[in-house]
Amino acid sequence: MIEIKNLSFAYPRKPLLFKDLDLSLNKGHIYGLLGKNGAGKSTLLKNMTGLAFPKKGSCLFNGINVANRPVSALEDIYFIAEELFVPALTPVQFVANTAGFYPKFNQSDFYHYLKVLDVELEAVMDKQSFGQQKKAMIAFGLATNTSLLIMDEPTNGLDIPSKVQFRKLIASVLTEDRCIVISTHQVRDLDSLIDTLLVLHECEIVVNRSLDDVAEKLTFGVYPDTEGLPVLYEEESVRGKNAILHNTTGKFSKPDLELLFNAITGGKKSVLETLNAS
Amino acid sequence: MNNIFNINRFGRLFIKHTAEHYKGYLMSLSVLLGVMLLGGSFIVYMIEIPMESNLQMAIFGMILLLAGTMFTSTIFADFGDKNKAMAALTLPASHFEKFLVAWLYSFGLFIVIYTTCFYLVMLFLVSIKHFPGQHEDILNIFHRAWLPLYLLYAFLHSVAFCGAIFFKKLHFIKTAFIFFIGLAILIVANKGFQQILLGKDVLMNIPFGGVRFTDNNKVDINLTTTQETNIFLLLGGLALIFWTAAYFRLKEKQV
Repeated sequence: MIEIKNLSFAYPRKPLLFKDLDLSLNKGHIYGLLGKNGAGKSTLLKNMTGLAFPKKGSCLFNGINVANRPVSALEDIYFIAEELFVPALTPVQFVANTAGFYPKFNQSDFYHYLKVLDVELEAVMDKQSFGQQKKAMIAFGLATNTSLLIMDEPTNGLDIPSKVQFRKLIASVLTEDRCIVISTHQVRDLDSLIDTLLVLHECEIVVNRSLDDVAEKLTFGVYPDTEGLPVLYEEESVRGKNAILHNTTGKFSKPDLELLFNAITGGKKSVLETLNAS
Repeated sequence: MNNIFNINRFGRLFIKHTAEHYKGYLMSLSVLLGVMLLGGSFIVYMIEIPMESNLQMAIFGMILLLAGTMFTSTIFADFGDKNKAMAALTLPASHFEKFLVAWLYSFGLFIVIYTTCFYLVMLFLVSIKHFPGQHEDILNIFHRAWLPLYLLYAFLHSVAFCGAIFFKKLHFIKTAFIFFIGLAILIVANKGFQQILLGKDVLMNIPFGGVRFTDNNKVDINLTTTQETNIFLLLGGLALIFWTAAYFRLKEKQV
């Protein structure tokens, strides 16, 4: 669905943010994009939606170069930015003026999502709190039924009940024809939702693995003592040592994405080598 | 073709733009009417002669050029704000359709609405103060003699239109600043070029206009009517170039 080939990108008068980056995203998956502050997560998403143009290489959506922003691609992509704009309209007015641009938009789904997320139908959106604005746009984005749904920090500004509802909704809208990409800092908000992990670090995608694949290669756990264990990375915690081990037993453990992220961005090459070993 | 222009999609975009901006536009319109009414009333009570069509034309032209360029400078304001620009650029409509909506609002619709307001205000103004034997005369803007004004407006609109998409904020100020700097350079260059051409000192003049120099007597060489018409047609041509530049700038817009 998304094919990024040899992509290099830099903002004017700034060093390269990505260098010869390759990435392939397929339908039927929810991708979680992780990276440190300034790693370029939002910029990568902008490249995928035609909001930023690469210096070199290309980003193709179903074979179409998104940098040209052709209508045929735009009407099948929806991007929910971290800081979003809502016009001075109610959700009902907004949908009346905007839904027509998205051929697969489903109005009844939209009203259902608004209800689930507890957004008022007749309240003017730009007079609402940031969280309410975001929920209205998430409801709209989900109802567009676009093949590619991209969200940048979608849980920022949402209260705890809304985060729960958000996770349920995202899980419910994933179909075999749809690809969802979520960029976030708040790993724990989404670790039960994403099925494939992407980690952007030092100008490149260093991890592009399904969580099943991660669990197959690595074991995550809390241990009172890790001596004698095949430890790849560990952190002290009040309960003992949070550790990532080489999975030599074949047993499944739930990946601790925060620990894994810390290991990768902290420079633990052994974790990456184990993970990316064929 | 569907990726460039679709009449239904264009209609939807026009309606969406109207729904999201009509409050601001109506406020601008009321300010324009206020300026015309207050300024016009002031002029009517200050002068002791009927407001003739020449004066009406001068007022019409000045307000058109000023208000039109100011309004045009705001037409791409959404693309200068990061959050609004993301929503505008990812909206599934072509660049041409987005360009055309902005152009229609700032050029076509603006002229129609402005002219309507001007006539309404003029009808009011010529009726509030009567002079003995006065024939209430209102200018006819459809006269051929007005074409140069519209060509000049088209040119200034295209400059403001370009500035609106090139700059992220303070569109009018920045565009006007660059325009006047450019104009000053052109006037100086024009003088230099004329001096080289004639081999004598010439006086400052309008670029692409006549020549003035002192040779025992003061000599003015003016353009013929045909040449003047051609200059205004050149402005129309320049307008087309600037509009095209604005379109490509919109296509290249990044966030």
